[in-house]
Amino acid sequence: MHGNDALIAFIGKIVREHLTRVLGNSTVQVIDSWLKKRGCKGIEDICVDPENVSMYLYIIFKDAAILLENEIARALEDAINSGSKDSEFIKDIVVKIRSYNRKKVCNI
Amino acid sequence: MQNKFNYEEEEIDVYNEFIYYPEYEEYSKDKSILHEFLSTKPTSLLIRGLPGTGKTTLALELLAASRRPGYYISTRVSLKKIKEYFPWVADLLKDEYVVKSSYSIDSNNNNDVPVTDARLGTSKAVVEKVMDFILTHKNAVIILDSWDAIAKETDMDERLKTEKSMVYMADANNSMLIFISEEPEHNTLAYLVDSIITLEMYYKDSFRLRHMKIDKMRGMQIKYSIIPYTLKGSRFIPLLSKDYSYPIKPIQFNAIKNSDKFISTGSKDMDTVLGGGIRKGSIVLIERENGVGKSYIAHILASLTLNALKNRLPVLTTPAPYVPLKSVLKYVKPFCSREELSLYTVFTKDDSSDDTANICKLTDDASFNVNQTCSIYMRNVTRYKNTILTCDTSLADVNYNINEVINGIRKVKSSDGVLFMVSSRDSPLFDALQNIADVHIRLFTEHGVALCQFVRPYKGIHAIILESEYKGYPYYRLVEVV
Repeated sequence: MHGNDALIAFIGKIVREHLTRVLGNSTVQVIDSWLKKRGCKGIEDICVDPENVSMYLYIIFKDAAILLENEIARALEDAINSGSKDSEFIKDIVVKIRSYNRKKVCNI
Repeated sequence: MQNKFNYEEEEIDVYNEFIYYPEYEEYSKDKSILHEFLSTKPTSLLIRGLPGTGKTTLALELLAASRRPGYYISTRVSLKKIKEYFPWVADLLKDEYVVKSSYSIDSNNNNDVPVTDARLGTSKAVVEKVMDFILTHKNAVIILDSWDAIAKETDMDERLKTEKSMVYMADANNSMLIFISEEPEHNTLAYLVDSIITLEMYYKDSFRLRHMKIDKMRGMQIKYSIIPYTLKGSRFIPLLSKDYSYPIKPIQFNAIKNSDKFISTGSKDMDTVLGGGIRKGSIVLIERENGVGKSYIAHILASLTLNALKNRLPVLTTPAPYVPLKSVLKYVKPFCSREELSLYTVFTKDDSSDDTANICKLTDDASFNVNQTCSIYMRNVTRYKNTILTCDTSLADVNYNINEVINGIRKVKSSDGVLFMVSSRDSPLFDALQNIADVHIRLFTEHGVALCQFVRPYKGIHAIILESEYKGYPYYRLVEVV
């Protein structure tokens, strides 16, 4: 699964585009480089380790990150519905994002 | 906390109701506006105003008062210039890019306020600095001075999103972002931030007056929406309305010694503005515009009176007709000795009496009143040489004969006395007094704050701050409005 670079790049692009729409290009670039400094490849790592990226977004935005992640999950679900890519792989990421999200909501 | 600055080569305490000074807490009915504002834990503040209105000064004052880790991002001014403009911050500079902050709670190395020169930066670089600082410091205060300079280089959509992101980051991490804007009309932040303060300035007879408008302050009831302020000593000093001030624990008046040529007004600040006090043989006109509280007149006259009595000079007072004897003595009697009070004479229509001061009855006959005053004045001059005469002609209900008044004025001038006349423009004596007066001070109010304009000598506008409750005797301070 991890070897599927094209799919990771595809999801990374969706996530990046979505975050850019919400936060603006400058902020996304800054978050990207901030994630890189912490051992992630960038926002693309949401495919590899959604919990880790979610945690970092939570550090930056706290409660506001929950809505942000929901929006990311929704954008990925739209990609699944379009049916052009490996929907199981994307579904798995969405489930991880949503479950981590729920944990945080319960802890609030 | 840094709460002193050099004023006229003398270090004085800054009494600033905008900034919370714990040492004044027992006297303050309310905590300062700033303390109240900071206690609402705001996450974003927009300070807007045209160039020269004091936006940076206000932001630095807020940073100082917050006692939180601070970060200053400058997109307009170099650090060297900041040092020059704000000497009270510059004194604390430790190296080229770091300002040592004495107001931070921490006493270790964490109390530095980094200053970044972002004049050649981009919005991305600014966001990066903001995010780094917010995530590495708890409760940070970050000043973006000015955000416009960089934001206007990006398109509107990107600008809005970047602003939103930074505000959310600050909010999420209990930090506070202070945006400084020089282009109020093009601002996109107004809906996003917790608070908006607009700084404005305007001119009165070639002197600059300033006020801040509190347009928005979430979570706080705004008592005063428009507050005049001064930037004296590169500090942001709001001038709040105060209609009454009286010593909590009365003590003896602390007199200023008269010199050979000058008689002190009893106020160090007033003496300084007048170049050493009132020259002997001078006529002083206090022009009182409508709306000026009688407490200000009482303080100016009481300081002069008490200082003269303490210097063993007689004082003859004719208060305004509406002021009862009790009110006149209230500002004099508790602050001097019985012996000193024996040099004090009050001319009044009031039927009440007092056995400590000399009370002379006034009549409805203006000629009799003037002649009586002149006669007692000359008696005092013969005995004590310099005598002070104060007369409040505002709302006077008798018709003075201008020739008799001028005759009296001539006697004062020739005998090296001092005549203090309080008058309003609608007084029949006003025009004559305006022409004769050696010193002309106009009292007026702006948004509830009492100000005095030195018309002659031409020495600008000063705010009158009553501080009797702190000093223990009638005391006022003048703070130049610049």
